[in-house]
Amino acid sequence: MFLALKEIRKEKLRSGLIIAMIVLISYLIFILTSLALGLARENTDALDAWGVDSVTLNANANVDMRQSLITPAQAGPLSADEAYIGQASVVAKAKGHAKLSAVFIGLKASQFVARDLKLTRGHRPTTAHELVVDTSLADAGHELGDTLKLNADPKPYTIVGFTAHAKMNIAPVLYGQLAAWQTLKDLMPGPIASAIVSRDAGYRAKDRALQTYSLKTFINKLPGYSAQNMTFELMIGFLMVISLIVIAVFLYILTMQKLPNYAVLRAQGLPSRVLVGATVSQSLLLVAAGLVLGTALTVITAVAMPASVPMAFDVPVLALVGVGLLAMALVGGLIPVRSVLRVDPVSVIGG
Amino acid sequence: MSVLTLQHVDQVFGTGSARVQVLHDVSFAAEPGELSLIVGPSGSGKSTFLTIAGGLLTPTSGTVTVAGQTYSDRTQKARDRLRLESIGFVLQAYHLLPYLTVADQFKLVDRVKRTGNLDAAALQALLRQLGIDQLKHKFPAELSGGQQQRVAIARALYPDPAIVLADEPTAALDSPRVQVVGQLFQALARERGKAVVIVTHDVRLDPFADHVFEMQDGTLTQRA
Repeated sequence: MFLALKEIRKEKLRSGLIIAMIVLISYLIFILTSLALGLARENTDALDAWGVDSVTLNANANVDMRQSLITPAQAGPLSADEAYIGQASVVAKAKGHAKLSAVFIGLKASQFVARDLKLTRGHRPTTAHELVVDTSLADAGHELGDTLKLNADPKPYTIVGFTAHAKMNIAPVLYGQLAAWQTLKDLMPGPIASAIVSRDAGYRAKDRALQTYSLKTFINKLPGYSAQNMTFELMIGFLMVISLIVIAVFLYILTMQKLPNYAVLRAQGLPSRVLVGATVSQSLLLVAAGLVLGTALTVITAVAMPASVPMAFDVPVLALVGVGLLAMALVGGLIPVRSVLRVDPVSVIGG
Repeated sequence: MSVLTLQHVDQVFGTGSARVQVLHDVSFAAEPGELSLIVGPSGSGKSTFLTIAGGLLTPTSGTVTVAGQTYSDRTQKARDRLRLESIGFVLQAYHLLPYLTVADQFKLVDRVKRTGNLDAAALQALLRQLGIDQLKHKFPAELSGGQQQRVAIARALYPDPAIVLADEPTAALDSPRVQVVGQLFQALARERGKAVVIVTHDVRLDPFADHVFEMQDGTLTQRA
């Protein structure tokens, strides 16, 4: 540590350049992680809010709630741990506002999903043309009592409440009644819902026309969800590897330049562990400094970023990413260690 | 009592047709308070002698004893420790760590050898004797070649070793500077009681030596 600190202090420009690169890489990784997390959450926020363990869909719906229809006969009797969900993709129109693509979720007022809905303002729908909507609509200027026209339904829907974190497939959720869902889907009498959600992990649909999926399976099958996450994971992984290469290459060059000095120190009896410790701690110190600055930039970004940008700055996740970068620094610092261990003090004898 | 002895040391490199015997039955003893010169032409085996005397190379046969301890019986770690405690190397290339000030070069030693080093007053006296006591906060790049050499000598002496091994310390110096360095090593032996062994081909150092040994084709003989 002593040698590492002294070298960093003396070689300010060289250390500064390495730190600058770590700052940029860590900042990019933090932002990408936050973006990945934000987008992932905007896919699943509503599902997470319901607190369910499984989703039952029509077996022919290809694990897509939008394609699923369930009849009362298929559903059979439900316990207090199950609830109907009617999903419809809608376009919401309101005077003075741009058209908004949204997800309509029809609920049965007596079931737990509707009952447990946490409102930030207003009340739950009491008629088929009342809505509880995501707070992003409030951020966009909508107020309680405002009306929205959904799809081709000529009768407007009135906003009677707001709820936070109501996002699904990166679109705001508009909660209403199942009757409204049937209207919006233009369904003939028959289907009662798109899905049955359950907070009982052991629930299985009895009808063979239905299939029950774990929440994790259902989420992974959300349109584009897995592909999007894999893309981000790949980018973050590549950046981790790039950071490892940058650290290893810089340290290797720096270490090679110091080998004659190290050979003299070895001749004088300084143990290899001191020199190895200097190399590894130099790597960790440079990356730690880069991470601190990268984190500061990320915090500034988080404060300045508009709420509409789908980014989630989750401290434990970002801390884990930081630990990952430190691990890369450790690995990168170990690569030149082999050269340090092979320093031959005899090489400095005899000019 | 001798602090450094080599007894019947042979050193062979390579095998078969590439076999080269660099040292032949070399025996040597260094006494505290005395300066010994090992002189000889290039390729005569001087550097190999120094490498073996300093415990950096195990001889093919023979025994090396430092401060009463036999090198060949020891592990690498123990050899490092023995070198750190008993031998001060002054090398032709100083290779001071460029990012450490003169003062920090000694602090580095403190971190691996916590006891037995020169105390602050003794270090100050040594630096004054070497004429570098005003340079403690300078980096090597801010020093002249001669100043760097003296810092390297001080660094070698800081752990207070019984033996000082010097490799061609006057190789690049003019005659007046050779006199200064010769006097310095002589003082290390006579005033500080060190056993000083200088490997050199520079005959200008002869007047400062208590004993002069000649290395010729791997054979060491003491000059009368």
